[in-house]
Amino acid sequence: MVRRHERRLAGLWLGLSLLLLGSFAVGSVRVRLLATIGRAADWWDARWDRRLVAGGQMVAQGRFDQAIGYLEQLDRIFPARTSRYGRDQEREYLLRLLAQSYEALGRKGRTMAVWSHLVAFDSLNYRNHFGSARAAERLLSGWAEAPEARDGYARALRLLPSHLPSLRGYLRFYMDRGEFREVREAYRVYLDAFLVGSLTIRGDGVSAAHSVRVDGRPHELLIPLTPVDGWNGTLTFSAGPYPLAIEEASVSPPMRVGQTAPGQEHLLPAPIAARMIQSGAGWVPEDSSAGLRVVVPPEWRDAGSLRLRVRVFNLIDEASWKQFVKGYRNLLDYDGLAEAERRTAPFRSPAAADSAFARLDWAPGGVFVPGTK
Amino acid sequence: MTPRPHWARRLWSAFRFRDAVALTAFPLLMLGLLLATSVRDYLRARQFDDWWSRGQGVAGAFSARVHGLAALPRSLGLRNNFSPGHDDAGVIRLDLPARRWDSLEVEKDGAWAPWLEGKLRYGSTMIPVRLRKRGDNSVHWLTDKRTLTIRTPRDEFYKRYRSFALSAKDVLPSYLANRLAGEFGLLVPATEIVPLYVNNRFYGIYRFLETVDESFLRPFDRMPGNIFRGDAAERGEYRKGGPRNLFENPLLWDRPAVNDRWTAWGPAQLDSLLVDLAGGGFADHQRIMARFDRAEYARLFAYLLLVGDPFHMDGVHNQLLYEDPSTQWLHPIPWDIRVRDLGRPENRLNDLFRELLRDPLVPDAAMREVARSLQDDRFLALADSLLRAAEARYHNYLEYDRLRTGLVPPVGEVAETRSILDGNARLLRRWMEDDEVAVAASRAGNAVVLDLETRGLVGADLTALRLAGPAAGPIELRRDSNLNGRLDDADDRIAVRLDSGPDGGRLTLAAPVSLYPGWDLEHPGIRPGHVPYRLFVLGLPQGSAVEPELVNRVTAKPAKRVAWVGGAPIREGTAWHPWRFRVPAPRRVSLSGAVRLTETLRVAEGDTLVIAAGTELRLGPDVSIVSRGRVIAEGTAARPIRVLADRAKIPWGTFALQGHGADSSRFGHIEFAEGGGALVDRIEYIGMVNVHRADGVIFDHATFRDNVRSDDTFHAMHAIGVVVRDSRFIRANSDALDMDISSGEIVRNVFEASGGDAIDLMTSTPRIIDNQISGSGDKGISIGEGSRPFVFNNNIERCSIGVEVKDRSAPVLLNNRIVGNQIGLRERRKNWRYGGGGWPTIALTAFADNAQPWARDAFSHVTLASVTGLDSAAGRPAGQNPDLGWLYRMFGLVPPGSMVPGLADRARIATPSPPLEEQSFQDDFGAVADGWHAEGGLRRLEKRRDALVLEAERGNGSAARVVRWSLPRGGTLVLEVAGRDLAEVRVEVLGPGPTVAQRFEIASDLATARFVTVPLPPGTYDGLKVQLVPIPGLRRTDPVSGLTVLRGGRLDLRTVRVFPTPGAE
Repeated sequence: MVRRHERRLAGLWLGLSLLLLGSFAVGSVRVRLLATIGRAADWWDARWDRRLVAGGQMVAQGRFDQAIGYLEQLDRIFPARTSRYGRDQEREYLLRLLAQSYEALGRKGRTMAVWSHLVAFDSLNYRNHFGSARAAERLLSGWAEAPEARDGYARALRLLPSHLPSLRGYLRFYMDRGEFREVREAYRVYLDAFLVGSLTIRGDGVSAAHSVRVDGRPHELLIPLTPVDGWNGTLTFSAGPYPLAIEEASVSPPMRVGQTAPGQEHLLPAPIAARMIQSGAGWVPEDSSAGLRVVVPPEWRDAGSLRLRVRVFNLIDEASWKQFVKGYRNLLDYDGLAEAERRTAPFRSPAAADSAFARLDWAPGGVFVPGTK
Repeated sequence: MTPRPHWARRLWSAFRFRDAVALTAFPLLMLGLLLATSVRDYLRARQFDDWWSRGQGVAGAFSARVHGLAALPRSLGLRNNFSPGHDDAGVIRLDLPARRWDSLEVEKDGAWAPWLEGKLRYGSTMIPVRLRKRGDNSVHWLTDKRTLTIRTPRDEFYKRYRSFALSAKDVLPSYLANRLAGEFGLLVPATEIVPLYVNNRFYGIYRFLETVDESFLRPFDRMPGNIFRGDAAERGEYRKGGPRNLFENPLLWDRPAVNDRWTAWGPAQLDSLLVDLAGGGFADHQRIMARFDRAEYARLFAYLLLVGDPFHMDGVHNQLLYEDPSTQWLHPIPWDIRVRDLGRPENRLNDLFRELLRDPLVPDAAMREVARSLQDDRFLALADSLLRAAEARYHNYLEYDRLRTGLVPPVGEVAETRSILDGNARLLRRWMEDDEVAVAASRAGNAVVLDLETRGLVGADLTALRLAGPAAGPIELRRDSNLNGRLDDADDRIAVRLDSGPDGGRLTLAAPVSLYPGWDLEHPGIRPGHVPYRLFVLGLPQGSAVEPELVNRVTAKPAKRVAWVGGAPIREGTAWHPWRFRVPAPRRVSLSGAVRLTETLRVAEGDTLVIAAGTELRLGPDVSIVSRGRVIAEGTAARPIRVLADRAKIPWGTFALQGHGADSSRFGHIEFAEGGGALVDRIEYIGMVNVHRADGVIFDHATFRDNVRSDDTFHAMHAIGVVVRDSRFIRANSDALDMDISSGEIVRNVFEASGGDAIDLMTSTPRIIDNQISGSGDKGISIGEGSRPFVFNNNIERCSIGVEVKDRSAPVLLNNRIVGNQIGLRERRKNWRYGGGGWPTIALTAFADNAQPWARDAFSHVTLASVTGLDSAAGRPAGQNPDLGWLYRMFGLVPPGSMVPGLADRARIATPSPPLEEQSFQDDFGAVADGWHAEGGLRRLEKRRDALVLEAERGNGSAARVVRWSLPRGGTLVLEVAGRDLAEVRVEVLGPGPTVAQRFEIASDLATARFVTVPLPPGTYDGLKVQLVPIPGLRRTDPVSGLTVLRGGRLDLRTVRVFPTPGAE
């Protein structure tokens, strides 16, 4: 009896084994099986994200003591050892959570040590330098701003010279000390920073884009136009989140086959702002739909090219701009101020300027947002 | 009797569960193991986030393992034949402890790819090296075959490399793509296919790749300068949260080679390039094009089109630009180019390429270059031969790696690679036929307006106009040069010839009007664009019709025409209009009498500067003359030309010739004094007088004196055939005559009291003859950085150092007199990038009264023949001196009657008699011994540095090679040899007749070579043999094992030359 059951068991084992081995011999079944194993591996591998979310929740709920222990342990075993690894953004997020937790518990030394770790982890990420500078400003500053903060902002600006929040931090340091030469120099470097934006021209059946330096200086552009029949003459200009000024716009009719009398160039009327506010030397966009609109009169709509003189301005807010103005005035550098004014179109508030920065194509890159992977 | 149960039933009844488990254990375990390792590899790949790791899956890893298992018997069969002793110059052997090797897999927190210490077996020797894993994505480090960087010490290069990469990815196609770039005259890193052994086990077949740094420039004879690198695409390299386009963010670039001259512009050239790229206007475009050589970029684009990969040098990586300090031009260095199907474009071309291709002459020249390469399938044949040669040489190694594809990166297939290239060639041939031109001829007033628009990928030449209807009288053809659409005075006339016929005529253009194409590059890949052209035909009577004759600019076949509807709008071209690039007419700039210049005079290319005899040019402070055109400045003995400072003691700038427009410039009876060098248009002129990239320039009876501030009095750079003769160099501020990467003649000059060197050479090959050099503050003649001059009959006295030879320079010094110097001869390695000291050949030269006759370091060699005063051993008794007549004849001189060390009579010039055969040795990836083979007890036979090394141990050994010498009048065999621990050396020359043999002894000094000449009687010879007899009983410590072993006798053979006996003529 026992032997019979054992034989059945052996038969079952053999059958199942053959089934398993056989299933790997059949292509379609093998692919499904391996895909399932792959999904299981993915689920297993996603434990790091789940742990990060759990850590994030602890911090969000204010359970800092618990979060520190949890995050420290996670940091020790986290697989991204350098910024070359795929989960580098996650590791940076983890370290930020840890720094936040230490700071919440008033452990200044540990907080700054974690920020130093972040900077070492990816020294090419300006956010790490900026975050370190902000932490130094909060934790290490006394009567005066901490030099560590200034250094952090300076490093962030070296990596991304058009980073306005870092410029503000740098500005605060020197304004507090009344060192206006550095203030003026910082703004000059900020204005001259190499930055390229895109001027888009849209209209009913018209679409063109052109790269243009974001430096507040006038640039001449010649853009071919090929309007569709029945074009209503509307042209809307936008430089994305950057303030813009159209100093001059004109259209020319195209040359035509066999005709030797090309038409005249026509100066277009001043543009009308749509969700843009005039500020300083240009027009500041309120949101992503903003633009400067020009309507080409019907008799000039046979346009072959558009000639523009435009200025595109780097981001700055009114409050910071006033500080820079003060810096120029205190140095009695009125020529420099006049030049800077021609190149400046400030946003009303720092928040507006920062939200414009966030709308740049490249700005959000490299940040881990829980739940997005 | 109970029937006996069936055997199967009996087996089943005896079957136990443990039997079932045992039966299935192996396949189940194997399956489990395959699955587990596949999942492990997949999870490892998921640790990274790049194009390779994102493409990995469990199924792929499993499949690779199954295939690897299936191929295991074959793999093992191949592997059994692999031996680290494989006699091949390409095999690289690394030794390092296994634990250290395993540490490549472990990353400490924050530390990526630390350097490991190891050893590289280099022939019979070992080099300590450092190595690390490298690569911009995980394919290079996640598999069992990692990509590596290897770096040797400065004192011991591997072949000519100090640093190189071994790339595991796409070995065969990438090797081919890289090698082909060299065929287009581009600056491209050296590449080879090499098998790699680690700890005596075959590790994989690799692509050897030179790393790009300053050393990379040397073989191309380029001056050290900035190399701008934009190659930060992957994690850990790019800057998060910032603009990633290299052409919109100068901060993403670094410089693997830096021009550290104080006059250098640093990274500003790149910044200014990016500013112009962002400008988008025609002026910006012209400034951009002024930085580049159109022809070079045309070759680059032709190459990229043929291999199908104009896309991988993109906006985020693979950008390398070399800035030549002599021109400030930027030269591309193709990097990581693949073999790709051109018909499947991956992305838009990068911003720089798009801008360069907006110059319509560039795509036009690129397509002509493509046509040249495809003519007679030349390009394909070359690719095929490279592929087949590589496959034949390393077939087993390649096959082994192919069998484990999936577990290691693919190495590539010959057939697949060739098929892609064939496809690209077919596609490009179709492109070459894409020559459509839209045509419209309409009458407007008294002119016929001829509108043409190129609409293809190649352009057309307008060669003639066929006229239908009455055609007589003067007919004029003009082009709308100013592009305003109207006929006006600014529109150029085009020379034509009218051939009238009964029903019309033919208007033939004296030179065709080129209608260039414009490419549309606003989408992925390359599409046909359009460029409009307008011409006016005047003088045609009413009723005449005009029909243009158009010829494809690439194939020279008639171009396709389509009608263009009258009144249709003419679109802006997709390229800048070629007629906007105006070429000014040549001018003649004349200077005579007393001329005072207060600002720099620039003479454009194509213009000619003529300075009349007797002219006195007074140049204000820092005022220069820079001529890109030819200069004729010929004074006379009675009426010399003088170029002087306008204000005493305050230097003027430079008198410079720049570029090939100034070729064949002539200066005679001219005096230059008190100049100070200059920086003009960002080009540094370190001499008072400079010749940059101008050939055939002659200075005759010139005086160069009292320059101020500048490094050199006279400086030639990248100049071929510069002649300075019968001239005087007096009180040079530093060096008197400086030649960088140049050639020519320095003859019968006097150099007096130079502050630095009288003659300073870098990578130059002039003939320096009959000069008087005295009182130099540094060297009389400084021969450095791979220079190979011929130095004959010069008197060098009272200098700090008579002659200095350094950095792999190989001059020949014959009949010189070097007396009364602090040091007579100094040999040394100064710049480690050249990989060693110098190796001069010094013959019949007298050193005397030098405070220190000779100083040399351990990196230098010398070949001596009949030299006196250097040391006691060098000057041999006259009877043992070899006949050096061949040396005179080789350099085009008549041998003097008596060959005594010291100055000869003035040179008597003859036709040079080159050797019938000359063999020298360069350590490379080719043959191990360049045709020589070992016999007997020869333990070592390999090229090392500049010699063939023969080493015999335990007994006599010889090396032999086949020769084919036919010497009807007899001849002379000349060997250049050094050795140690040899009792005797015997040379045998074999042929059908009696063997010619000669024995000689050799001093035990590997650094000092001598010539051995063997007279050869008339006849033919088919073999050459060198036999070594080592001194017995010597011992040494083996560097590998540390054991005491026998020390062999060694002979270094530097050259073998055979000269036929000169004829009666």
